[in-house]
Amino acid sequence: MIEVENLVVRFGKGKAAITAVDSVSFQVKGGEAFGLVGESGCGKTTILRCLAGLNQEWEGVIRIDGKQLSPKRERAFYKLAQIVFQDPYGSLHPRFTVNGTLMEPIKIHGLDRADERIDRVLKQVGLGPAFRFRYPHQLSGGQRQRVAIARALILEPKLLLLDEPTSALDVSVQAEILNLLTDIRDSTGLTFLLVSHDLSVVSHMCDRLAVMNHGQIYEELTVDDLVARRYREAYTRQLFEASLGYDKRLTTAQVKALDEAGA
Amino acid sequence: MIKPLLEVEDLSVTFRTPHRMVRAVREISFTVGKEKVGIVGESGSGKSATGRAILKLTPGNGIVTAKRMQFEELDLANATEQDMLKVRGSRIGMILQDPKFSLDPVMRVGDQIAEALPPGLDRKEARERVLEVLEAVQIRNPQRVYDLYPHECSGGMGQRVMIAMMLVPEPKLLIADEPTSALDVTVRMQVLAILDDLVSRRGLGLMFISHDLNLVATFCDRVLIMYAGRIVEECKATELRNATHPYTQGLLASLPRIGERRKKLATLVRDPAWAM
Amino acid sequence: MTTAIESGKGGLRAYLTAEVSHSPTQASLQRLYFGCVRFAQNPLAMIGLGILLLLLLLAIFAPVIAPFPMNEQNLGRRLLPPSGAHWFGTDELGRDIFSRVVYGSRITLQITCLVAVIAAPIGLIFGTVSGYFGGWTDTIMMRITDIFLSFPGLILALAFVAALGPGIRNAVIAIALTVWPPIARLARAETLTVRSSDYIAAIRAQGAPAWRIVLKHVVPMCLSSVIIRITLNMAGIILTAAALGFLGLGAQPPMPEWGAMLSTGRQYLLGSWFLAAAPGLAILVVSLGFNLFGDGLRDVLDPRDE
Repeated sequence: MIEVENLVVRFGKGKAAITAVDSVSFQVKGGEAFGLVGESGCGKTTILRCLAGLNQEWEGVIRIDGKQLSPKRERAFYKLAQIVFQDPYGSLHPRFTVNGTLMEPIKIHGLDRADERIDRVLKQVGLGPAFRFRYPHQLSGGQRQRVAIARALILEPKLLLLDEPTSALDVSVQAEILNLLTDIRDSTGLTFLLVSHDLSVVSHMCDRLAVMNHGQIYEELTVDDLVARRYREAYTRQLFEASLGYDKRLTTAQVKALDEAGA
Repeated sequence: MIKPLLEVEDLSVTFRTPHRMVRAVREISFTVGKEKVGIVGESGSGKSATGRAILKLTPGNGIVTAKRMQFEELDLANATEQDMLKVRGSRIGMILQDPKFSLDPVMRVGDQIAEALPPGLDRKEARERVLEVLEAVQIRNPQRVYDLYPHECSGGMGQRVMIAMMLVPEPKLLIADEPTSALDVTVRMQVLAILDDLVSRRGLGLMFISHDLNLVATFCDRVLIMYAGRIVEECKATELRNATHPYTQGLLASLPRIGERRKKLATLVRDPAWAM
Repeated sequence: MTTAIESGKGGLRAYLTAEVSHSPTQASLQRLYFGCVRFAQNPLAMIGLGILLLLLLLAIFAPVIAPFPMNEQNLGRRLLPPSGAHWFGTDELGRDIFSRVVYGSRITLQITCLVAVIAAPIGLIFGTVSGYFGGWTDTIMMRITDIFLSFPGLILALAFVAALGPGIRNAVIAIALTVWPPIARLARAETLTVRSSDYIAAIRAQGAPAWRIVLKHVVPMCLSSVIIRITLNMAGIILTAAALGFLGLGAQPPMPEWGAMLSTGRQYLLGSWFLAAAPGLAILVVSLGFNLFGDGLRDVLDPRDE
């Protein structure tokens, strides 16, 4: 479904240029759930935005569903891949009702049977018709994220790009949203590309993952391998151990590494 | 039984909004000794309001009442603003979430730490003290860091600077409100290690407020779980698995964990009785 | 789909305060209703609104309210001080000042509304397009705006009126030309903030064309600030119109434009203070009304509060 070859993204010009994504290559099979894991600034969100068509300054090769894509996308592309953003409080337009937000893609692509589609997609994300004419400020974080997912689903894409979809949510709400995403994947067979800094979320949702740091993929492995600690890179180990919680014995030795890395 | 540094009995914080009264904290009681106590809750549980109420930093429209709020020999419940000025920073320190917002952006980091020093030191002495304190938080090149501005520091370094600043006046109790939430996962562990080290070496009490149950369970000695303004569970961190309150159990069950290949996570079914 | 609006207070009120809306219309009306309720809780804002309503009433019912026709001269009753027959006295041609002030409200209202209606959309479109597209578009459009901004408002208005000729219509155009640049700057600043938000990225990621994003998604976010700014500018617009009138370049005699009345009143200030005081007071009160109303609007509309 996704083929990325030697993707390079640079911000800024000349001497001050930063290479956010440094020749990254990976593939995602159709129907698979693939995770991109890394800490802030590693480039994972940049890659996602390049795939979604939001970032148009990149070099390399991107193929989605077999078609090679250029930085400027045609309108038809957006029916193929949709993105769900991290912050439910920022990703819905404050002046549009839920209905308005869901109508926009319908109008943009000239789709028919608007009411039917909206009702169907709201049902799919577990929101009843009572939510249809609410404004975002009348919704909780979890409800907003459901609307964001509904918005992504209404164009019936084949690929769902998820940018830390539950990082901004409470733990109990996170569980609901993750379950919802699992349900959606089961019923539609969508391909997921999930970006997160949280290894436990990725290991729950995904089949395979890639670990990123400083704009590069350090390691690609299956979740089974990760769980069995069959990773090769020291950085993967660091992330793994940090996700288990605080361990005094491990970290005292690593404190000096902080300064060496200039953190 | 550790002698408590802080004893709180029946603390309530109520906020007055135009439409109704919001009871953020409802008659909670707890103690903090020379140990690490974690206060865990989701948004709206009242955990941050608790931390601020102790230092009387509740915003204007909040009303704080307590049957008893005793810090060592001081009666915080009836303390005036004048009294609190002598407590904040020097007896009880507070570390907040994002060093970007807690540090003055137009002042060098070293100078800000120096502000926390007692008055009367000359510049050379003050600089030496600051460098000492920077070394105590494991900053290897304190001379270079002294002259940095906050925006030139990474998250982890900024937070260590905050810790350094809070430790200068040698308080006995530290209140940390989500001190590592804004940090990357690997840096987080390292900052916690420094905090852990300092707290145990200096015999401080630490009140660690967070939404991250897993982190608190592994870092702290005791855990308090808050829901809807009340403390619903109080236990030793090591015994969290045996928690009795259904909210705690629900929360633990809904966390995704590496290695547990469950198809669906258990979702929390909120019982209105918990908010009583 | 829509709940039928029953006549009578119960039905309408229930419709407006219902927990769940059933149509886009109901949702919008509910929002409007709650905005009005919040506005009504601000006493100063209500005073401002009251003043503006009074202005509107005076303008609409001028022939009924004014006891004398506005241009009826009576040279035998010149410069009479305020009395029972002439509440604000008479001017140098024996015309009733009160009646002229009342009729003058029409001109004031006309000028302020026309200027707002012309300047706001121009400024809004200029600013949002400039801010959204950035690059050369932004640079060129902003430099054009800068050219207009670099002149003090009154001087620019004077220049235009001098070029176009005196009269109300040209005064309105001239003032509108000085009012749109700050609106454009404001709209651009708001657009720059809005442009990088996730909800704009979201609609881009759904394939929306640029014009749709600017008109349907960016402009509504700038609208509040622009409305508030224009309302607060009204006082300035009235004063500029008054100044033009004062200099003889706005409304031409015998029109009872308040600024022109002030101008003639100046000559008689020592002996007949009421010639200048009446229109001057009118200008003061209306400016104050717009300011109070604009402040109240800001408290209700400012998105930062939400």
